[in-house]
Amino acid sequence: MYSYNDFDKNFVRQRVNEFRGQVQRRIDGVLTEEEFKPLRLQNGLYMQVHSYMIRIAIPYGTLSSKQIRQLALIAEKYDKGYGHFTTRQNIQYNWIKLSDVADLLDDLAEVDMHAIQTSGNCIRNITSDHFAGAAADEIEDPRPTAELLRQWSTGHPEYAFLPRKFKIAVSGSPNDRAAIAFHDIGICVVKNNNGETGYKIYIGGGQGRTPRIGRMLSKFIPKKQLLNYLDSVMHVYNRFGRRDNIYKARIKILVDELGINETRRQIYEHYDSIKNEVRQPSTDIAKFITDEFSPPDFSNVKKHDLEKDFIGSLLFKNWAETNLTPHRDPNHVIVSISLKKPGATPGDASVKQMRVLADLAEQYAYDELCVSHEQNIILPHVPKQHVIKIYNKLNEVDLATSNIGMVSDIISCPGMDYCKLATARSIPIAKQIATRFSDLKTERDIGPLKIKISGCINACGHHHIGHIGILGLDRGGVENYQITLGGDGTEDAHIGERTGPGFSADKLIEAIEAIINVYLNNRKNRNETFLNYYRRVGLSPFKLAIYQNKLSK
Amino acid sequence: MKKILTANYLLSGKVIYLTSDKKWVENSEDAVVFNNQEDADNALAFTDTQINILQSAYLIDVLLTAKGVPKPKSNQELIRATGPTNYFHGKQTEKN
Ligand code: SF4
Repeated sequence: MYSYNDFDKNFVRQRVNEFRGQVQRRIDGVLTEEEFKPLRLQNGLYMQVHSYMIRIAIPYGTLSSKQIRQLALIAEKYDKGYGHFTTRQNIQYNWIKLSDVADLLDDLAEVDMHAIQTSGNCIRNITSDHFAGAAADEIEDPRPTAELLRQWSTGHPEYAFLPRKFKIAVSGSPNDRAAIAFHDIGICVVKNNNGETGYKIYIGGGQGRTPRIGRMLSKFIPKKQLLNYLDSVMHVYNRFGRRDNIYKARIKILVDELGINETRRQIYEHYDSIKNEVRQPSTDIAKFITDEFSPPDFSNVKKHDLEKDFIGSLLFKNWAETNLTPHRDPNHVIVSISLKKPGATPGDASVKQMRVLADLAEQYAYDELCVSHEQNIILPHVPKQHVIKIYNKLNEVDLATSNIGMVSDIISCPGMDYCKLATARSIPIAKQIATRFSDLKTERDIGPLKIKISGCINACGHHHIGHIGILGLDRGGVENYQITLGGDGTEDAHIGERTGPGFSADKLIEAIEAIINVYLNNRKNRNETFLNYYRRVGLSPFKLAIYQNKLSK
Repeated sequence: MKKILTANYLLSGKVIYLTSDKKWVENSEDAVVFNNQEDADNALAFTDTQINILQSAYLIDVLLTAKGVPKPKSNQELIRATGPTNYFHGKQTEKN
């Protein structure tokens, strides 16, 4: 794992000290709120529904046990005993006091963490595949690239005042688990015909009020040219990106307006003029970063037959079926830990749970964890012999829910309960749906199904890419929920299609049930997933079922 | 019209409301209700003198209960005045 060098450490410490001074000047009345606001936002501090909220960056989602233990301590010291993991692989605390913030940031700096690039019109925290470094299908660990981009983008003067926020995701595998097609720039590690590793680049993807699938910008950019290439993209965005209207300022709109060919031409014009400059990280730095992510030594782990552990423990077997993924080393597995116990708030983890996660990573999993954009926690490298011990321990703290990728594994943004921009609540909807379908038999029968809920058009809950997406709106002061179907955030990217008019909160549950029943009663067989069924038949049968249903009630 | 004035304490971030004697309280039910725009605007102007203890102040629409107690009209302000609906946290824990 990448650990901070002295430069990084000093940078973060200096930033905390600077902010401590700014907070004091605000308290003393030297700075007005207007003057202070951009400064606090640059340090991840928002004013939210109940209090200040702080959003902390977790680059590419990776955490050590020491770091998650510190996140637990922060929840205990400064918040209400829990933290909320977000769809950007970050963590948020909802009940923060201004008077505590500088101390909180100092505590974070102690474990090489901060809240920079979690707000404002800058390049935000870089996200990646939550199975990075462990996945069997990976061409290369995407995190050295993500870390390089973190170093390139942090504090870069050209990228401190972009037209709008800018999100980059990196995947190292052809199977996209990082939703790269839904980022301003999506980067995928690929090999060309000569066997060289480089990057495929997508541009102008995103969700929000104008959902767009990223458009292919380049099929192959040589590794050493990545920064020159991205500098060129940013150059064109800074030069032409609109600043007159925040709804039209994301790069996706620029690509819409210029067209992908003209966008590409502009980018290459700049790129061709700089690509021979030595504007690259030295080979030493690139090697240093890559070495930092060298995998643990897996060779000492003995072969272990997991099936044997299933005997006599049906619950463990059920959990293993949904929550384990093959690892690139045959004696290891990837363990996904669900933060979606039906009835609980998606993405929330208590102090106690975070501490157990830290212990488990430390004792059994090479001290490494990863936050997924689906709001779960991953132990990327687990020797098979330890899996049952991990399961048993998880069980003690309500973390052994066996639902990864199933109906009750719902992504949900904080919605109106915590977010000032919300038009409706999303957490209670997630809780209700999860509880309704959570009995194991129903859930297993339904099979893989991703439900994603946002509390407003900004789509932080990724509803556009849910197999079933739910968008909460306000209709004359009453919460109303629109449904989209068929969204997909993988390499087979699709934006969900709206079924039609929305539903009130209680009718919504009936509509979701009707949708699921249409699928269950009409699928070819159990191997035809919800998404495949939808792709075969389209919206019509679902529309018929839910609007008839709505009328008849 | 019926409005009350709300803000957040600068230091604690807590949601607060203005009372008739120009004090800040955490319970929206104790807020002073403005029946005309002039009074509301005057109250808002008063917050300019409070910037060292407040975060942004603004007026919100309320309804009056049968007993004349103000209740925020919008869902968002109701949640702000009561606390989140997923945990028993925030103001609901402090009210009787
Ligand atoms: S989708 Fe809307 S309600 Fe949900 S977190 Fe984002 S801005 Fe807030």
